[in-house]
Amino acid sequence: MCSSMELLPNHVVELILQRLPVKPLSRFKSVSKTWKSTIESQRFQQEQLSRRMQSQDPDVLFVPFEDFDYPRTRVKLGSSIVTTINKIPLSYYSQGHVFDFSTNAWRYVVPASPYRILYHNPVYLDGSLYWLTEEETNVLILRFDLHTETFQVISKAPFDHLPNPDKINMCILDNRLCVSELSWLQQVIWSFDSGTWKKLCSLDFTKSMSWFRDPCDPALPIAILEKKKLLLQETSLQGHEQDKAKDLDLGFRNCCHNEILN
Amino acid sequence: MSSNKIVLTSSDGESFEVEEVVARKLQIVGHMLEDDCVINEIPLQNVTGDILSMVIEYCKTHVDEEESEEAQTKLKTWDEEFMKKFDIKTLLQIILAANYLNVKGLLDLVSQTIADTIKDYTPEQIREVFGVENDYTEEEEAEVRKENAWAFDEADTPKP
Repeated sequence: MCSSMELLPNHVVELILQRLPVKPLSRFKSVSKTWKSTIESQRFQQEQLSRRMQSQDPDVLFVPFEDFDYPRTRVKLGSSIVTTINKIPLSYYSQGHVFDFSTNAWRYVVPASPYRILYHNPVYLDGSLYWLTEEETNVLILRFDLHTETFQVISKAPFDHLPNPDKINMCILDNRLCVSELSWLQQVIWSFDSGTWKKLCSLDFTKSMSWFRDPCDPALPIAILEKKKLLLQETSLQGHEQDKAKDLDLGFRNCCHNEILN
Repeated sequence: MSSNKIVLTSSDGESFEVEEVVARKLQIVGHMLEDDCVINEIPLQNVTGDILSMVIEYCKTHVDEEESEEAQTKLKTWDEEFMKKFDIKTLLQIILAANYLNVKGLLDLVSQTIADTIKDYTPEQIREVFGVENDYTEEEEAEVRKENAWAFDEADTPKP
């Protein structure tokens, strides 16, 4: 047997890379220019996506796609989602598009969303995706049922005024839909429980002014950790294209723990 | 299926006598058999004897793929144990052979095993193991690393 490794043909290298999660793939862009262009090619990313969908332990996927307003926006899906999801809806400005993996194509959802959707990534819970949407003086919670492919407004957000869209966000904590609003240095988090909103906690950032994060952006709650600690993500990261691939567990480095004050 | 025997010969001259059904798992052989009806000996120029013997071992085990769940589980366990025997260099030889000989199941299995093995590698380890030349300039490499800095934290300590 020859002692030095024969170079693997490119398509064989791709077969291996398709089976890797996003994190090592990002790291392996540093291997060589060829590896970088392979990993970044749209064809490869689609292959990798469908491969990871089939595997036993899909983690984080990225789907690059062209979009009217946000070129190369990436939709991120966590592990709890990919086992049940087989289509990704994307909605902006009252239009609904669904990417259907069974046909590998985008199609319109009819009827489309009744409201303009505020720009943020949707959150996933129990077979539906949720967005914040606004209608005149109210912020509403819009649900998209992935099974029936229908939009529905399920509730009014618990804000008593029309907030600045940049100061609110949405998340899932303990399997409940939550929304939060940053008002000066106070961020209040509500949880949607049996049809009503309950105030989960209030975060006071006045004591952490020296903190790394920009107090203009609300922190994104990620999880309730044991001992009543809340994991938060610095959300200014979300604005940067190159950080889009960061997934939640990796978000740890950019997060800080904050006592739940209740 | 006939129990016709076929001799497969490796690049270094090693010969393996296998049943035709086993040899047909190597699609390259299957195609040859279809093209020409009487072949008893097939030379396989791109694969050495030690690697070919492993491919044959895989094909023998997978020769009759039963549908039953029990048989599938048993095969899966066998696959896992089989893959544990090899280091990364050997795995790469096997994937080359599986690609050349066109053994679909083995190609899938080895690709996944290699992916699982290299997922914590550093780019330096990848270059060494895969024999990839680093064609970045120092500045370019630093830039790509910086863009993907988040993916590096646990991989900074190279595994033996």
